[in-house]
Amino acid sequence: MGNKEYMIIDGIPVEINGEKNLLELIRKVGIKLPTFCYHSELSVYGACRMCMVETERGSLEAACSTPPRAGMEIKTNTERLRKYRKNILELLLANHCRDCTTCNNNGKCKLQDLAMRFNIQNVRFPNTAAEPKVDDSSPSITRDTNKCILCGDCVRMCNEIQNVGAIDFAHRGSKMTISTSFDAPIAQSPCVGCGQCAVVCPTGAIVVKDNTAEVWKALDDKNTKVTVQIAPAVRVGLGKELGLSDGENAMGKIVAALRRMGFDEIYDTSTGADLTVLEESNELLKRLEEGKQDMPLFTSCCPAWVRYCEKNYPELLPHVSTCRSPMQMFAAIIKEESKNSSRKAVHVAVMPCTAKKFEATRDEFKVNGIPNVDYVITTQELIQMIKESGIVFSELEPESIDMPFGTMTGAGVIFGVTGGVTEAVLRRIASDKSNTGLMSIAYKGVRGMEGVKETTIMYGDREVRIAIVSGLKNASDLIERIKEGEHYDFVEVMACPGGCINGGGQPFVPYEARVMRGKGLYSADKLCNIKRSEENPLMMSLYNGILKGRVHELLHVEYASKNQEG
Amino acid sequence: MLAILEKIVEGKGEDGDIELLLELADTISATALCGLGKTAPNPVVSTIRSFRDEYEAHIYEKRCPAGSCQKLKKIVIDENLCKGCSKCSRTCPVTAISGKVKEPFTIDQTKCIKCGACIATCPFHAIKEV
Repeated sequence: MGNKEYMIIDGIPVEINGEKNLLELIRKVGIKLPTFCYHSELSVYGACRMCMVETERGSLEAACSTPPRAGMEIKTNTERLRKYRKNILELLLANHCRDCTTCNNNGKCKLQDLAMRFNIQNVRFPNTAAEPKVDDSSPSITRDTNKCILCGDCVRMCNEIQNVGAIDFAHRGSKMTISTSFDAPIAQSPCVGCGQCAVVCPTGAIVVKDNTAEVWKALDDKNTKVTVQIAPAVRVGLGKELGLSDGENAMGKIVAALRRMGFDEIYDTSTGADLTVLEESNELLKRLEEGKQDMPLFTSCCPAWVRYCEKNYPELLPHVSTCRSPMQMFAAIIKEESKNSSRKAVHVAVMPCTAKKFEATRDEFKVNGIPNVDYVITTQELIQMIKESGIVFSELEPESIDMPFGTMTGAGVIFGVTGGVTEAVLRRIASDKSNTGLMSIAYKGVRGMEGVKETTIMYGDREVRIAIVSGLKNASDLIERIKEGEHYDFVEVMACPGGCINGGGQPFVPYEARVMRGKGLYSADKLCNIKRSEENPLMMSLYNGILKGRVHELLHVEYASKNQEG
Repeated sequence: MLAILEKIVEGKGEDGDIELLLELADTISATALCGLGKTAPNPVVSTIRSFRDEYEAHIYEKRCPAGSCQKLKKIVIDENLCKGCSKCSRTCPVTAISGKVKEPFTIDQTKCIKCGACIATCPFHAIKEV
């Protein structure tokens, strides 16, 4: 297609390769142009004005909202630009809380980071920062609107990607804030707790709720037996922050670290996922064979999705699998086992997810008022605890998980990435149990970071149509299509784009690193001796032991309470 | 910018405030997203350009040449004209004026709210804004 198009950035010719804006091109050539409000997956907003560049005529353009033109000449680092950027930062800091050391987002804050980068040592404007206005009504996230810089990232994430619309801009001019409708506590809003707003928030205005203090307390108490389960996505999410590479599988090191911190028994949620695979496949097969009208069957692993369904599509609840999430299945079993201990049982789950914090508090998962999962901590909180304990993570010798629930399969591990649940279920129901059969499932269109994937498989002589969606906007679009008459048999929904690996509790990383997390899980699957959930020897003993006659009680749930706050 | 302007009219302006205003105005008009934003600082810029001496009078001399900044106004009684009739002290809503009858009265500047009631009542035109 003809000649290549070039433009000049800071005196260097750069090829234009279909980038949608100058910012992408500038970052591609290795210039870290500062931004607050730009995220490649969200729409362009152009509010923060940090990415301004100077054109050859001396006019200024926001790089995020200007498409590259052939022959264009821009400068990204001139005296004027530096002065403007400093001024903008100073103005932001003038009405922003400056108690960085006690902020929940200390060290992860973009405002702090850019203030450091631009060497802001003095703010010349009067300090108009208001007192903190904290909303901690949600079990998942904590908001402090006075740390907000109005970049709108959370609003666009909540509306565009998640289609939840819990928050939006309210009021005008200098009175503008991000608010729920009528400024109600976030727990009373349509919020589902997915935590994606906290992922994109550049400051400490929206952060993951911190439950580390409770976990430390349980660990320090001699009279408790603290068991812990680690979700699949955690192992590929935390390495980067602790000196490993993006997407590196750090499971062995996590186990070693948790053991040093004092956890008594350490398990892998993948085992719980194996149970989910078995139960969910049974449910799917049963529905297929009975030819019931309740098709498609939606997965129920993702608590934010379940919550979204309850709040927005209550009529679809009969379509949602009655299976508990892997965390809750496994927790029920671990709690059951811990009954034999003389010490008080406390169960902690390390999750990539903020919605799990809410799920753990649901009445459906309490036995005599005590939740099966006492505390949920996110990957971010685990990183915090590891740092606090002084453990040098990168130098730890990997250790293995504990018995009696220490066997898991590759099918369980890939639950952490979009398409993983489906792939695991397919492995279970596929008639071809050979290695080739196993591998061919991977190429049926279930893998990849796309938000919507579709595939068709044969079960007996029946065609089974499967859809895999991640991101709640994609889910609601699919539901609308189903309502218009499109037929699917099985739908996997993950609320976070890309699945649990990009959950609200994971450290924020750019897109490329998220892909690496998915790869990390697939290679972890490759290393597993057992690939199919039904071949996990533990399953047999569980079904003949603890679960005998109690499968429904311990592994299934009817979501009844639609109006619970959270 | 409003905060700085208010600071100036309250008589708390400092050296460098004019330059800071101009710098801010430049930043805003260069980087704002919309035309309204880009032109918002214009009134400040053009008043500084045309009436810089007034800005300076506010900041350095704590004086408002146009007499419209209430905080910078001062109301005083001319000793030579005052006959000590006490009418002003009876009118003052905050009892800021005191003195002996038939001797010149004085205004307590810390109490005075610059309402101007005394100016209007004085039969001898002895009270003035400066």
